Amino acid sequence: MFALVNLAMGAAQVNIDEFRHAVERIPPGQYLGSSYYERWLAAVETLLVERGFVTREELVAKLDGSAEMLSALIATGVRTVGPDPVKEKPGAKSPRARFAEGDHVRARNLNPMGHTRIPRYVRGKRGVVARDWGVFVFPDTNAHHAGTKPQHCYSVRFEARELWGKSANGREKILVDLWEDYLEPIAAASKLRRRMAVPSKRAARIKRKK
Amino acid sequence: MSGNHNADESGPAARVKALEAVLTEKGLLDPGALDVIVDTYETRVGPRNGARVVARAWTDPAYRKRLMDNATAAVGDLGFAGPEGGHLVCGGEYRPYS
Repeated sequence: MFALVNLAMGAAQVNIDEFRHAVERIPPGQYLGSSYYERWLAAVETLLVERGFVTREELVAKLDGSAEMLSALIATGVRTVGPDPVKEKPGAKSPRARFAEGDHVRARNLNPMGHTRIPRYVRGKRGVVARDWGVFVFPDTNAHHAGTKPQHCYSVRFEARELWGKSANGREKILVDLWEDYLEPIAAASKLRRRMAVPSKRAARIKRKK
Repeated sequence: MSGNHNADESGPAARVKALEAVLTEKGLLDPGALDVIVDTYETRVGPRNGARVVARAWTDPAYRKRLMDNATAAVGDLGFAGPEGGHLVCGGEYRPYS
């Protein structure tokens, strides 16, 4: 399946983000009941039929006419809404990095109708930029032929407790690769206020003891 | 190898076979190329390649430095190239919670 998908997606000129989105378009019940490579199979069938490289009838014929099996598994026709197309600027300069290592950021609470690579568990959470990986194609637009929108992608460090609350290990951190459009800066003032919050509480307690 | 994944003729295995047959008939798929990919991932790609890189870095300080400075080029020295190593960064020794 791995080899077949690699060759077929190359021949059909499907990019990796479109492929991932095809996996995401599998109806939830079927998705949960499928193994990893069964999802790949459903995605590659979907894309090849949608693009007209093969027809459903041709596949059914090869399955000795068991159309029921195939129609239950091809995810074509699932409605999908992508972002507005981005204007491509050929020969444009490499985009400037908005964030640098050590910057405090918040992952935006994005819930697009189409493809995205921002994990749900970081949405709205605060983290720190650990590394700038450089400029990469933006999956959210690339998956919908809405442009490559090249931009910086960062490794962002989140405290486990920021993501999963007090029961998480206080020493654990998780690094998540996030594109620039997924991030917003956190104002320096709020950072300072948070840092001040703990000592002042402690100071109040000491005062009370006196 | 393209004949190998037919053990289970029901469900997904049959669909893979059907898809492969249709694509081959249309000239969209070269069964020889399939065999090359399967063989590559079965015999040439795997964790032992990484183990060779690490072992070399343990025993060769110059190589270790090269790995830290430009990991993609350093693994290329040992004959490992391709998209998997395209943006490789060596973080040094594992330091938990640093």
